[in-house]
Parts: sequence; C-alpha cells; structure tokens
Amino acid sequence: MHLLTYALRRLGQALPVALLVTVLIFLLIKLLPGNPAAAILGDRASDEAVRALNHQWGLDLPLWQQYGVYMRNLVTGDLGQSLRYRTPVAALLPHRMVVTLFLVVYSLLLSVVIAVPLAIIAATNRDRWPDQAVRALITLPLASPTFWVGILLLIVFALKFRWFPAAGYGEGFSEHLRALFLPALTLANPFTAVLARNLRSSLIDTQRTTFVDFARAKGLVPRDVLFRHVLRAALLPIVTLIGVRLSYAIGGSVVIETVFALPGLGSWMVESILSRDYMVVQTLTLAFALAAILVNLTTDLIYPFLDPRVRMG
Amino acid sequence: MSTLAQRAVASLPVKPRLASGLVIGGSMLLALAAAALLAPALSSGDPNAQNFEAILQAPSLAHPFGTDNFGRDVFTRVLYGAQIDLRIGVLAIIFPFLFGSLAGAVAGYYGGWVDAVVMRTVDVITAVPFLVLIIAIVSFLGSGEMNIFLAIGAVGWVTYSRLVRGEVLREKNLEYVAAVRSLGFPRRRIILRHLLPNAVAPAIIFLASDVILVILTTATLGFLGLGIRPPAPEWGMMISEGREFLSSGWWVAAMPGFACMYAGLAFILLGDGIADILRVRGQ
Amino acid sequence: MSGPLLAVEDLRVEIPTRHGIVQAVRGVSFTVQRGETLALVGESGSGKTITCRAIVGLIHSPGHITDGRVLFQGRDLVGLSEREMEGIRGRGIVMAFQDPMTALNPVLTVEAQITEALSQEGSAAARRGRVLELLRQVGIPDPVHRLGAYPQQLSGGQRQRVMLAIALARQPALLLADEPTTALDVTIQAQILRLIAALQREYGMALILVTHDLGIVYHMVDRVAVMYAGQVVELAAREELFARPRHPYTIGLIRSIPSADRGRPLIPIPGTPPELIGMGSGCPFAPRCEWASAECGRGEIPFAPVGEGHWSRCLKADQLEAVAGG
Repeated sequence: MHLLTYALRRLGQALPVALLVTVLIFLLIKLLPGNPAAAILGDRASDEAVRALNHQWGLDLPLWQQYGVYMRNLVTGDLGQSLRYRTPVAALLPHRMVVTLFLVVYSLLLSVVIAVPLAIIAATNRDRWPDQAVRALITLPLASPTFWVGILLLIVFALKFRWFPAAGYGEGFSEHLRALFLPALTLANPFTAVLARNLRSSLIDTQRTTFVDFARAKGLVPRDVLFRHVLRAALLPIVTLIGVRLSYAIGGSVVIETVFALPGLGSWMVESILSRDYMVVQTLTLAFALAAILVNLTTDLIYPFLDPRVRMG
Repeated sequence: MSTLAQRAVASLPVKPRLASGLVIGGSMLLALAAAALLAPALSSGDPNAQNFEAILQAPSLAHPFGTDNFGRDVFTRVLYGAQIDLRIGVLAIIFPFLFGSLAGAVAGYYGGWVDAVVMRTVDVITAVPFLVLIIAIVSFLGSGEMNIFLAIGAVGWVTYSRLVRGEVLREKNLEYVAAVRSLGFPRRRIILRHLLPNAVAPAIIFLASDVILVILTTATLGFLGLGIRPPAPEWGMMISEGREFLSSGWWVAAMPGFACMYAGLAFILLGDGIADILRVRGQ
Repeated sequence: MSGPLLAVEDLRVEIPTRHGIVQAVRGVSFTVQRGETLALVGESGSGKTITCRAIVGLIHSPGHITDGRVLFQGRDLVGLSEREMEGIRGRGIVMAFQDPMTALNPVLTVEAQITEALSQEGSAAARRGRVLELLRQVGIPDPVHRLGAYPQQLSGGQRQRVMLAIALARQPALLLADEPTTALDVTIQAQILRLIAALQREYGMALILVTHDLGIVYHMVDRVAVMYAGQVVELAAREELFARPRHPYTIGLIRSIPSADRGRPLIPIPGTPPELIGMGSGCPFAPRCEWASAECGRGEIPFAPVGEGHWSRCLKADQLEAVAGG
C-alpha cells in the first residue's frame, strides 16, 4: 500500500521538526534582555512580584528542566494566562484561531479563483497584449506592502463606497463573509501574483510537451486539450506551491488583522507584543508554527491523490 | 521533439524584454538611490521639521506629497525614508546570502550528518511563518535598526542554503567534478573554486526578491510599531501614522506606500533581468 | 476519388532562432496512394519529423511553413485554420510520435487516453468495448486489466502498442509513424513492425514510416523517400531503389547497412551532415560525395525524374546508373 507508507513517512518527517520547533520557540524568549518576568511586569514591579512570577514559571530551574515544564504545560493544555485579558490563553485560543483560519482559507479560495483564469488568459495569448496586461497587473502586488494595499482598499471600498465594513468581524456567517472580503482580498494579493505567474509558466511549458502534441495529433478539440491535459499537468507543481505560500499567508494575517481590526490570532499577537505579554507571544508563535506544519503536511498528503506518479514512486 | 526543433528551441531569439528589464529596473533604482542620497538637496532638508500652520495640506507645488498632522513635509520624509529602507534592504541580505550559500554548499557537498544537521535546522526555522518569527524575535530583542539586522540574519539565510544545496547536489554528479577530484584536489578547493561559482546562480537571482522582502518586512515592522524608533521617517511607520487620518489626509498613508511600490518594482525588474542573463549564459 | 491520398509538393519550413534562420525543410516532395506504405528515411536532423509535423500542422512557433503545398484528398492543408485542421486530425491523418513515454500523458490512464480519441457519440459501454477491441488488436495481453494502468506501468513495447491503439481509434486514412521502433529493444522492434503491417492491412490505411534505418523496413514498404539536409534527395519504389540507387547518399546508405553476409565490409559515409543555418546553394551532400564536381556546388539542384516513378536530386544521376546497388 504505497499511499500508506508515503503518508507514514511524511508524518515521521514532520514530528521531529515539530518537536524541534518547540525547542526553538522555547529558547526564543531567552532573547529578552534581562529577566522575562521583570520585563513583563515592568519597572515598577516589586522584587517580590518578580520573584513570585519567576517561580511560577519555573524560571529559577536549570534550562533543561524549564523545557520540561514548558512541554508538560503544552501537552496538558495549560497555555498560561493572558495578562491583558486575565483569562487562560487556552480559553481564548479557539475562537481567535477560527477567525484567522477563516481569513486564510477565504484568501486562498479568492487567490485560486482570480489567478487561474488570469494565468490561462496569459498563457493562451502568449506575448500578445492580454499576456502583457496580466503580467503587468501581477507585478504590482508583489512589489507593494500588503498592509498598504489593504489600507488603499479600505479607503476606496469601505470609506468611499461603503460596500464593506471598515473594521470588525461581524455577527453571523454572511456578515463574516462580507467583513472578511477586503482583508481576504488583501491577504490574497501576493499569493495570487505568485500563483498566476507560476501557473502561466507551467501552462506554457506544458503546451509544448510531446503529450500535448499527441493529444492534438489524435484530433482532440482545443478545449479538451486545455482542460484534460494542459491544466492537469500544469496544476501539479502548484499544489506544493500552495503549501509553501500558505505559510507566508498565515504570517501575513498578523498585519492584515491589525489593519482591519479582526479578532484573530494575528492581531492578538500584536496586542500581546505591545502590552509586553511575552508568554502569550511565545505561545502564539508556537501556534502559528504548528498550524503551518499541519498545512504543509496536508498539501503533501493531498499531492499523491492528484499525481499518480507519486503514488507509485 | 525532432532534433531540429530541439536545437531551435534551445536557441530561441532573445526577447527585447530581457535587456529592458535590467535597464529599466537598474535606472529606476539608480534614480531612487540618487534621490535618497541627495535628499538634503532635493527637499526641504529636515524630515522632522514641524509646522503647525500647514497641517494636513493636500499635495501642492510647495508640498508635492502634502503634509502630515504635524505639518511635516511628506515628500521630504519619503526621501529620507528611502535612505533608511534602502539601506536596511541592501545591507540586511549580505549575511544571509554569504552564510546561507556557504552552509548550503557544505551541506550539499559533504552530505551525511553535516547535511542532516544543516537541513534539519533549515526545516525548523522554515516551519515558523517568516513574518511571525521575525516579529517574535524583534519584539523580544527590542526596537532598533541593529535588531532588524539580527533577526533577518538569523532567519533569512535558510532560503539561500536550500537553493545552493540543490544546485550543488546537481553539480556534484556532473563529470567535471569527477575529473577534478581524480586529479587529487582537496575537497575544500573543489567547493570554493569549482562548485560554488556555478551553484550560486539561483542564489544571486533570489537576491533581488530578497531585498524587496526585507524592505517590505521592515515596513511591516515599522507599521506595527516594532523596529525603527520614531520619529525616524521609515515608510512603514509613516503609513501607520497616516492611518488615523485616512479620510482627511489620505496622502500621508498613501505616498510612502507608492514609494515602496516603486522600489519594489525596480528590484523585480532588475531581478528578472539578472535571471534572464544568467539563464541564457548557462545554456 | 482519384489521385494520390497525400501529395506533398516542394514543402519548406523555416525556424527563426537567435543564431539565424534554420531551414529545417528545404524542398520535400512525395506522394502516398491509398493503402500504400512510404518509408521516409534519413539520419537525425534531416528533417523527417518536422516534415510529418508540417503535414499535421503541429509545428511550434516560431517555426512555420514558408512554401509548398500539402494536398490531402485534394485539399491543401497549408494555410488551413486550426479549427479546420482539427477536423482532419484523428480521422483523416494521425501522427504517432517517436517516444511513447513522452507522448502519453503520465497522469491519465490508458483507458482515458484511448477513449478520448474515440468519437464521443454512442454509449460509454460501447466506447469501452471499442477500447478493449483496440487493445486486443494491438496485441496487449489481458486488456481488461490494463485499462486502469498508467503509462509508466507498462513496458516500452506495450506503450508503443497503446500509442498505436490510440492512433487507430478513428480508423484514419493515413498514419504517420515517427520512428516507432527506435526506443525499443531489437527483439521487440520486429514485433511492432509486424503489428503495424498487420494493422495497416486490416484498416486499409496508408502509412508513412519514418526511420533512420533502411534495413529494418525493407520488407514492409512499397516506396522509399530518402531525405538529407531537409530535402528529399531520392524517391523510388523499394526494389528500384535498392537495385538502381541514383543518388550518392542513397548509395552510401545502402553500403552502410550491416548485412548477414559476413564477408561484405560495412562502409560508413565519411563526413557529417551540414548545419541548416545559412545554407548556400548547391547540393548539400557535395562535400561528402565522391562523384561531386564544381557544378554540384552551384544553384538549386532540381528534383528530376530518372526512371519510372523514380526521382533524384542529383546532377550525376545518369553516371550513377552504372553503380550497382545492394
């Protein structure tokens, strides 16, 4: 059962990485100049308060024991307390994660919906004006800061035309769709550009292959040639691309959520940084990392379903 | 494909766009760099000069990009901001390029546990979304230009190492390496003088995109209030400050972004031009 | 309908490249009658494949046909729109490519690739039946279990058979087989050739067999067109060609065929074929020709009749009559 061994092998690769990531993020907070507890509590905290917090977090233990405590807490679901909201992180996490996930998936769908037709237009009209137009259109988002594009979209569509809310998440599913449209579109920007550019290249390369020639030689109509042969072959490398870029997209949510005031993981991370809630920052970094690992694993596992060559590999 | 067609495709005519990418991108960049360097001469001279008589004025002849809520000339601030963002963009990639290329070359050539260690490290760093990791590091280290360099240095090298390692793995098996080894050359010499020059091509191509990435990351950090300390006219921070008056003074937030886009476009064109040249020469 | 099924008249194809214009096809003329087999023989780079691609209209830009006519059933295919060509491909003319591994789509099953070549009328069950019948005809054992296979799972010989099955799906009048055995083992080659011959008889197809190896196709073909440097240099019926070759290149080819007669030496042709860029006038084979003289280097050598149904592009054709072939 080739598929199963492949899946197990991938899983076996992902787990050690996940583990090492926890080590990395655990060590990250050591970058704080001085004592984390002191940094968090601020200059006006008493020595006792600092010592108490230190002890509570086990910061007076040797390093490897600290890691042990850290991992134990992680596994038992004790993710600490948000100093700002005075509630356990674990309680706030799910809802925030849902918002971010919604945003990321939404933006992915928008990307595909926009990029695929653009790429097809560009590839089938190679070097003529539609191709040049698409290529020019694609380059701009890659060069601009995503958050700035978001602000521009805000100015035009939310403030001027009032088609979409300028901030917030809204109540109810349809409200969510409306509220998340501009942020998702903004987040989709860089990925759409990369996707369209790569897909265009892939389509052009595929069009010149021998099996496409043979498909034409046996008398297939162009539409069949395009969809059954060219597109299928050209889309395969894109799937891996999605996995990679999704990681960037997840990171991008940090800024987008801030621009559009969405109650997701990203904006929470920024708030925590500004309020020096460093333990939460650490936990959220880990959450982002694990989410990204999961996404990559998923795309890797989907790939064999699309490409029979990998199944037999 | 038939023999003749194969030969023909391999020598397809060089499209005019190829040379123009390099030329246009290069000249755009030179223009920007010149503007940045000559900022004192081209603008009012002081990016922090406040003038409460001229708050939030729309773009005009006196103030080509308008003024912000402190009456500061936005055009001046954008030019001085160019100094900051360009400087960081170009300097921050040096270490990642050098270190990453070397690490990748060593990992690819020696293989074995060296390769495993390097690639495992690369995997772990890549596992965390780039922006998240940078933000986390910078938030822990504190603000300041130096910390941006540190963060990017610690994280940015991984792409280069992957690219170079891939090329080295491919080149390792080519015949000229076997030929050189059979002459008894030491491995280090093989890496430095033979493999590396060929293997860094994709890394060099990536440099241009990386500069853009760094500039955008710096702007993002500035936007979030991390990184550069105010009142420095960094583009991202200016956009963030301008957010509060989107309806009354859209130019405060918009102009720095256009500057960023201009710089980004220049680097993209330059990068494409370099890529085309390296690719063509490689054939 | 009278007249040949296919008549190629002075076909010329050019491919612009950075180094200059490659004149890939510089005057190719031949005819193929209904049910006839023509061998298109020449070494790599002689323009055989491009000629076939020109016939079915599958030359990649920037290459294009610059002159000549391709008359199929009396109709000139050059200059037809893509849509009109689609009507002809598959049913009228089919091209089977050289390497089945690259010609078959690696992510589609055998069944899918054959089925899509069939006419889409009728029921799915009928189509599946036809697919199985085709697989049986091309000699694939246990076709039912091969339907779901992917090209990579088949052997080289089986892939070639599948490609033939696809090509025959709509019973074309003309099949262009580009080096159908080059990618295969010697033992399989004979099987495939026998299969092609049998299928041709069964379907009454005309066949253009492209190859660089004159020896292996001798038994199958009716007529032979010898190509060199983008031109047809000699065209004749099979026996006539071997008995009375009238072009130095053909003579050279025949001499270099390994024969079972151990005593006979293998005589290779000295020199190499010319680059097809910036070709001057005159006979392209002249530099390697033992009969060449000054006039061979000047002007375009006409493709002239030298006997009944026998054409040659050589100024010395008459002198060569004395040279025994075989």
